[in-house]
Amino acid sequence: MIARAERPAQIVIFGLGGQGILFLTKLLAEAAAIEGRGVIVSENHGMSQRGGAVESHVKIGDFAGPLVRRGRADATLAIDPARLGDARAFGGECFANAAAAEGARALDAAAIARELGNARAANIALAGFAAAARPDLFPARASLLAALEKISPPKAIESNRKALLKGMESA
Amino acid sequence: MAAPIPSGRSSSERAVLLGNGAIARGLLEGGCEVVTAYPGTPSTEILEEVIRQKTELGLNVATEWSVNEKIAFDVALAASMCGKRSAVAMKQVGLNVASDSLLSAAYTGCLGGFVVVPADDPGPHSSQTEQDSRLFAIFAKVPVLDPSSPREAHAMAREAMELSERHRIPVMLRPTTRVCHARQPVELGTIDRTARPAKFVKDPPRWAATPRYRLPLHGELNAKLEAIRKHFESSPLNAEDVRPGPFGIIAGGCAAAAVRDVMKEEGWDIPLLQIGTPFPLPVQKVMGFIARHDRVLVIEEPDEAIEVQIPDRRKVQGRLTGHVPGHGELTPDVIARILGAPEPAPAPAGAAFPPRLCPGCGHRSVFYELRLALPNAIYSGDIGCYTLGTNQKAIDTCLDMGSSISLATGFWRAHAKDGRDVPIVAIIGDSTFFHSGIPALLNAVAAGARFVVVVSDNGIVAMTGAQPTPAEAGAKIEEICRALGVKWVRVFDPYRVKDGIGLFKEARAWTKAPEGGIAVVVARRACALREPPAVRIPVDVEAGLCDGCDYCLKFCECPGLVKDAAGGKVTIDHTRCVDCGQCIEMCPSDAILPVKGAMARP
Ligand code: SF4
Ligand code: SF4
Ligand code: SF4
Repeated sequence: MIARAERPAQIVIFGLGGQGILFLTKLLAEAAAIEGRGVIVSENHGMSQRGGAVESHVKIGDFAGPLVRRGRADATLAIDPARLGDARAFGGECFANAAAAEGARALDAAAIARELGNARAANIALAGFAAAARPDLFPARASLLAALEKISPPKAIESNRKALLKGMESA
Repeated sequence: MAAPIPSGRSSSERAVLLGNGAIARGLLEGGCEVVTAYPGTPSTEILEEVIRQKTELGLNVATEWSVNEKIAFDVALAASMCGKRSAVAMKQVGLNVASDSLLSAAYTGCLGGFVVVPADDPGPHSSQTEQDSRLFAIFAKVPVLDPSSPREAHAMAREAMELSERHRIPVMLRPTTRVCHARQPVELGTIDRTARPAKFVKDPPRWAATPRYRLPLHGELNAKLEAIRKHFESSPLNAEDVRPGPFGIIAGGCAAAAVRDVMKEEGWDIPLLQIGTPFPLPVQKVMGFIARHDRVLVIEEPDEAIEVQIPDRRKVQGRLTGHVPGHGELTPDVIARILGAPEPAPAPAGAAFPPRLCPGCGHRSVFYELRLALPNAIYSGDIGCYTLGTNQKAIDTCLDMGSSISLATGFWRAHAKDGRDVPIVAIIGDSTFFHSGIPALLNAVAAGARFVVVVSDNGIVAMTGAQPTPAEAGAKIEEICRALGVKWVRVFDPYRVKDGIGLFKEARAWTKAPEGGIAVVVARRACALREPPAVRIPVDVEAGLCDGCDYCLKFCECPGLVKDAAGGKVTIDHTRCVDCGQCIEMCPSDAILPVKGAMARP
C-alpha cells in the first residue's frame, strides 16, 4: 500500500486551453478530498480556454487561498512541452509530457495516450506518472482511481483508468 | 459528467464544489426559488450549477438565462416583490448594465430575500475593466459580503439571503475570479424547500414610488444600513485577531486568504482583521483594531472599498498611500512582495500563447471575407469569441456589449458630418445582438446611418460555454432586423467564402445607394467547438505548390495551419484540424487541397 501523503503539497499544472487541465485539476481535488484532506484548487476558465496559456494550481493541506507562489511549488506538470519553462520557474520537481526534457522528468504521455486510442488522455497519463513518482505529494492510487471514476463521463472511465495506470507504471 | 451532489439532508455531507457551485448551493439552502443570470466569466457557472443541482435534487426552482443583466435583475427582483426568495448572477460589468435597477431597488427594497451576485475579475482575466463591485454597493447603498473561498461563499450566500429578507433590502454577494473558479470541499447544509407562494401586494408608495415617496424611502434605506452596520459590528463574518502589536493587517476577499497563506509560509504572525462585510463597514471594529497597532496595512482588491470608509486613516496604509499597487490582481506573489518577503527568481520570458478562434470557427471565415471584400473598412467589434478577430486584423474596437453598432453609428456620423463616406462594418455576435444590439440597431436605422452590420450567429453564447439564447425559443435575427426597419438583410453560411465576399460587397453597395441605408448580413454557422462541421472536408497542403508565403497564417489564422520549421512550408496539424475545409479557398497558390476522395461542399 502506498503511504497516504500527509505533508502539504503545492502542485501547478501548465498547458494550453483545451488540453484537459480543468479535468486534471478537478481530479486531484476530488482525490485529495476522498482522503479527507484539505484541498483548494484554482482553475482557468474564460478567454484563455481558446487555446491560450492555461495554468491551474492545486494546494493539498491546510491552505486558505488557491494560488501557489512562484518558486514555492513542490511539483509541476507541463502538459504541453511548450510550457516547460514556465513550469520549471515555479519550483519543485517538474514532470513534462515530452520524449525528453531538460530539468524535468519526461514521459511521452501523448504517445501513451495515442497507443491507448484516447489521444485526449495525455494529461491523465502524466498525472499518473507524477503521482507514482511522488507519493509524498500526490493522492494515492486508489483515491485517484475513485476520483477518476466519479468525474469521468461514463464512456471514458475505462480508457481514463488505463491512461492513469499506464502513466503510473511508467514511473 | 459532473459529480453527483449529495442531497444535503444530513448536515455532515461534504462535496467538492467550484466556488460558483458553492454559491449556487448556498442560495438553494437559503430557500431561493427563482435564479436568473446573463452569462459572463467568471460568474457563468453560478446559474449552471443551480440548474445542475436542482435537477439532481429534484428541486422546484425557476431558472432563466435572461437576455441581458438588467432584465435578469428585474425578473429576480419581481419574484422577491412577490415574497419569493430570489437571486441574480452576472459578471461585474454586467452590473453596469443592471445598475439602473440596482440603484432604484435599494430605495424600494424587496420582500423575499434578494441576492445580487456580481463576480469581479481582478487581473483582469476575461473582462474590459477591473472595476470593484463593492464600490458599486457603496454607491447604490446596498450591503455587500465578500468571501475569500468557496467555503465562505457558500456560507455567505445563505447569510446574504437571510439578511436581505430580514431588512428587506437587496444584498450583494461579491466573489472574485479566484473564489468563483476555486474548488474546495464544502460542508453542505440542508436545502430549504419551503415554497413561498407568489403574492404581489399592491403598495404604490413603495413599488411605484414617485419622487415624493422616494424621499422617505431614502431615509428608510439609511436606517436599514445603520441597523445592518450595527449587526456587522459583531458578525463572525469579520474574523479578528485581537492581539495588539506594532503592525496589523486588514484584508478582504481572496487577498485575505493569500495573506494567511503567505504569513504561514514565511512564519510570520501578524494580527489580521478579515473584513467579510465591506459595506456598511463595521467602523467601530475597524477603529478598535487600528487603535491596537502603530501601523495598519489594508489589502483588498480590485479597488479601495474598505480603505475609503475608514474615518481616521492616519495610521493606515493601502492603495491610497501607494503601499498596495493600484491595479492588477493581488496574487500571493504580489502580497508577499508588499509584505517584504524575499523575492523569487524572475519569471522566464516564456513564449506567449494568445487565445485564438477554434479550428473550424465560422467567425474566422467572416473575418477573412470582410478583409477581402472591404479591406479599408473601420471594423467596429463587440464582446464575444469574435473579439479574437483582432488576430486577423478585422476588429478595430471593443468597448462593451452592443457597442459595435452604436460606435459604428458614431463613426458614420462623424464622417458624414464632414461630407465623407467611409466603409464601416459593425461585427456582433447573436447573443450580444439580443443583449443590447437591438436598441442600437433601431437607433442606427432611425438616424439614417449607412454601414454594414454583420451578425455572426452561432446560435449560442459560445464564449462562456454554450448557454442558450432567445433563438432557442424561435427568435430570428433576420426578422428582428427587418422589423426594426432594415431594408437589406441577407443570411448566409460563412463557410461559403466566395458567397461571403460577394455579399459583403453588395452590402457595402447598399450603404452607398441613394435609396440605401443599413445593410445586415447574418452569417449563420454553429459553434465548431460544440458542433463540429457536419460535412467533413479533410485537407492537406500540397508541398510542391506551397511557396511559404504565410498568407494563410495571417489571413485564415487557423491553429490547424502550422509552418513546418525545416522547409518553410505550411502543413496541416491534423490533431487540431477539424476538417472544415474553410482554408481551401484561402491560399493564393491553391496549395491547400481537399484530400483525394473527400467530399466537396454540397
Ligand atoms: S467556442 Fe465556438 S464561437 Fe468561440 S471560437 Fe470556438 S468555435 Fe468559435
Ligand atoms: S499554403 Fe498557400 S497561403 Fe499558406 S504558405 Fe503555402 S502557399 Fe502560402
Ligand atoms: S480545414 Fe483548414 S481551416 Fe478548417 S480546421 Fe482544418 S486547417 Fe483549419
